[in-house]
Amino acid sequence: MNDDGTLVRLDDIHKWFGDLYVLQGIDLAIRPQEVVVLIGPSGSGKSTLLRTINMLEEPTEGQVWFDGTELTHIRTDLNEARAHMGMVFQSFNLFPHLKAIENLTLALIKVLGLSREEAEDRAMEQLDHVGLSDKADSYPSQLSGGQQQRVAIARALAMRPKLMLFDEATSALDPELVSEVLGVMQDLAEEGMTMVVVTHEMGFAREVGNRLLFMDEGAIVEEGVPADVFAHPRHERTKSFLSQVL
Amino acid sequence: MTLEVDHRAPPDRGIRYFMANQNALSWASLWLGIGTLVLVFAGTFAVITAHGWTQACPEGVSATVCDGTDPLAEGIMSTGFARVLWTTIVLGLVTWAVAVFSLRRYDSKPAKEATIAGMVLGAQGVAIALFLMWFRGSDVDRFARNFLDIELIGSKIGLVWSEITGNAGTILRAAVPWALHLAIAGLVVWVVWRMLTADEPFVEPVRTVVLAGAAFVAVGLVLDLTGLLTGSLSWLRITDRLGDIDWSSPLGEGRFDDRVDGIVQGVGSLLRFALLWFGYGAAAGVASHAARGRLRTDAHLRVAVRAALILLGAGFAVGIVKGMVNTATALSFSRGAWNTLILSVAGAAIGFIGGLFLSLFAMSSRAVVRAPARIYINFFRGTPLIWQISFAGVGLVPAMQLDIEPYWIAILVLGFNLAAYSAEVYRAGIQSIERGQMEASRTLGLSYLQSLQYVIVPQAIRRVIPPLLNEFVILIKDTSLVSVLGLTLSQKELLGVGRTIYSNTFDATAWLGAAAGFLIITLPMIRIVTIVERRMRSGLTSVI
Ligand SMILES: Nc1ncnc2c1ncn2[C@@H]1O[C@H](COP(=O)(O)OP(=O)(O)OP(=O)(O)O)[C@@H](O)[C@H]1O
Ligand SMILES: [Mg+2]
Repeated sequence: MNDDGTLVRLDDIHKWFGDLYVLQGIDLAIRPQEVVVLIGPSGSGKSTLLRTINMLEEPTEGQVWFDGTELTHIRTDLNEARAHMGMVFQSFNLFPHLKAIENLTLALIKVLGLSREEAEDRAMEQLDHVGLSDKADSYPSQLSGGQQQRVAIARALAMRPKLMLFDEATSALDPELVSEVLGVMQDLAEEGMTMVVVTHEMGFAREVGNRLLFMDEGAIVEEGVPADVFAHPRHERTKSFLSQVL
Repeated sequence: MTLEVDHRAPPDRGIRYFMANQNALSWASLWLGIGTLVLVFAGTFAVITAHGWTQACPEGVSATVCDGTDPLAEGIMSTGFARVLWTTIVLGLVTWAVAVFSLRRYDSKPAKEATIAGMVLGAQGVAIALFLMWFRGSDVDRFARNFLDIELIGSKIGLVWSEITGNAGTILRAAVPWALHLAIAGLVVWVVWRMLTADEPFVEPVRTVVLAGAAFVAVGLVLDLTGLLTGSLSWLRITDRLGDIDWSSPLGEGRFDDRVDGIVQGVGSLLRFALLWFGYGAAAGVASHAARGRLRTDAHLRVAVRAALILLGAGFAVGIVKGMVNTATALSFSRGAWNTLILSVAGAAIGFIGGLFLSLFAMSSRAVVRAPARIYINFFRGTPLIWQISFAGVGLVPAMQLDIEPYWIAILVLGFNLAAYSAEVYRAGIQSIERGQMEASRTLGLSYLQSLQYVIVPQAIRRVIPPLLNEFVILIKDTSLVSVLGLTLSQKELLGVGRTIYSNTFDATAWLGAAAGFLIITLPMIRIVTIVERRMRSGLTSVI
């Protein structure tokens, strides 16, 4: 935790890609066990914001604090910090040359320094948790999209992270596979995991989210309890966006 | 939000930002690093200029014959030059000392980059200074005479250096065959160990190894018999035609006096080869293990057989040529084929491993790391291989008084050359891996190097196998260029052998023999490239 009781704090984040001004001064504080849902039109900077939290994108200006460490400080060991936050991508990004279980054990062994046996035990436990213990020896190409994404989630969870970041985890899935992944995410939220979720699944945002952020053109335009925002959007841009997606 | 904010321009991150964010230590390491590199270049230039670049000779006397000492060599041997080099080394060490302090104190990205750049530049300066020092200790003059057309002078210093390097060559030569033997033995031991310690019954692995071995013996014996037959026939033909040629000439070495002798020798080699073939087969079985873990299904058996066939390709070449043992001609050809194989395999080992590291340097985000790799790659890709071989063999190695045999020079140059080409292949392969793979890996907390090692490179290697094999085929043919090195008879590769036989016997079929030898080696390789490419197109991720 940071000094002020938050797990993640972004202070005045600005980000440019060349001349493109993508994040225009973001302040955000996330408390432990909170589930923050991020919505907004395409290109509004949601992914960039999410990727700033684990420093996959380096902010041009501003500070990122995670668990008492300033990640934007030049001498911070980012690998150490990243070992404590998991990220799930739209395109799964499983390692295709490794079996499902090896996808999980790689970082357990190389980053956390577990022995092979310990790592395999923990990985099996985690695969079991997402209902895929029978697929441990399959390669990613032998799994369905939903199964791949669940392995990817298990891969992140096996590290026992303090924070999970989801970037449109269900967008690449066939409709009938979406619910199995959302189910895993919902269970996780109920177990008390701190989560930041970028999603187009408004049902999920309403049911599972504690807080909803609406982003447009690189800024957080509106935030609040999901049900309130859906029912009474205050901002014009929120209204027009919600009218399109709901 | 207001329009003002939307239109904010990105903050300056250029040179001014860079300079404004340095601290004393980071500035110091950057400038010390630059100073080191500049000193070694500028100092060398200054010292040599002070002594003069070329010799002033009396009117009408050419530099090759006029007396007196050569100013260039004098400059290089001067104590002034030694001072420059020593100062460079000391400055480089100071750079590193300062940078090490800076590493723990920098507080901004520019300061970090300046520190690292200083370290890299300092290291480069020191490396060049060490190289020049080594050069100084060697036969500068011979080098100068060969390449700069300057008169001989001076004494030879640095015998210690050349002794060490000379012995290193000898040690290496002795070590390589041992290393190869041990590698094969180790592989076998490893598999036996796996079989003994496996939880499950180890019947199947044994079966594969034995089956593969048996298959090899069968195929190998047929090949050897064929070779033996054709060998003795061609022997007959040649003796008939050249009955009264004096065979005590160089090619007489290793020749058999009559056909019986040849057949005895052939049968002996047949037995030896039966063993060798079995070794190949067992190795193939081992390889399939390494590729697939335990053997559980028939599919794995098929893989074993295919791996066996791949090794067969190499063995094929050796078998046929070795089989034609019965004439002096054929014997030389088999030597030649061996030499071609050794040159290309050893060159490939250096080139493929060196190229991987080179490609990683060439892809660094830091210009100071990238630049030397680029220079290396462009140099080796931009000059003809035959120039590289000649320069190394006729100039560099004698001038440096290195005791490296021409054979090893050939291997080294072939390897260095291949490294440059394969670096570009690796680069393409690594850059073709989706960005998400690196991101996913970094997200799990793996470092950049760990991500390369465990995630990116293993995938990239699979993708670049076909183009790398193509480079290998090219290398096999390029081994013929080593003929410029004046190898001894037993060191000659296929083309050299063909040429020698032709000039000794006027038997023009020698040229065809050389071509056949090359084809026997390259055709299976080309075939493998096709198979691998087809497998990759069909979407199978594993290529072995
Ligand atoms: N690496 C990059 N280089 C240059 N521009 C980028 C880069 N990544 C993102 N952008 C740009 O930044 C803007 C915000 O991108 P971002 O991916 O954060 O949007 P998003 O809200 O996640 O959109 P979507 O819903 O489509 O995923 C876009 O205009 C995008 O083109
Ligand atoms: Mg996005």
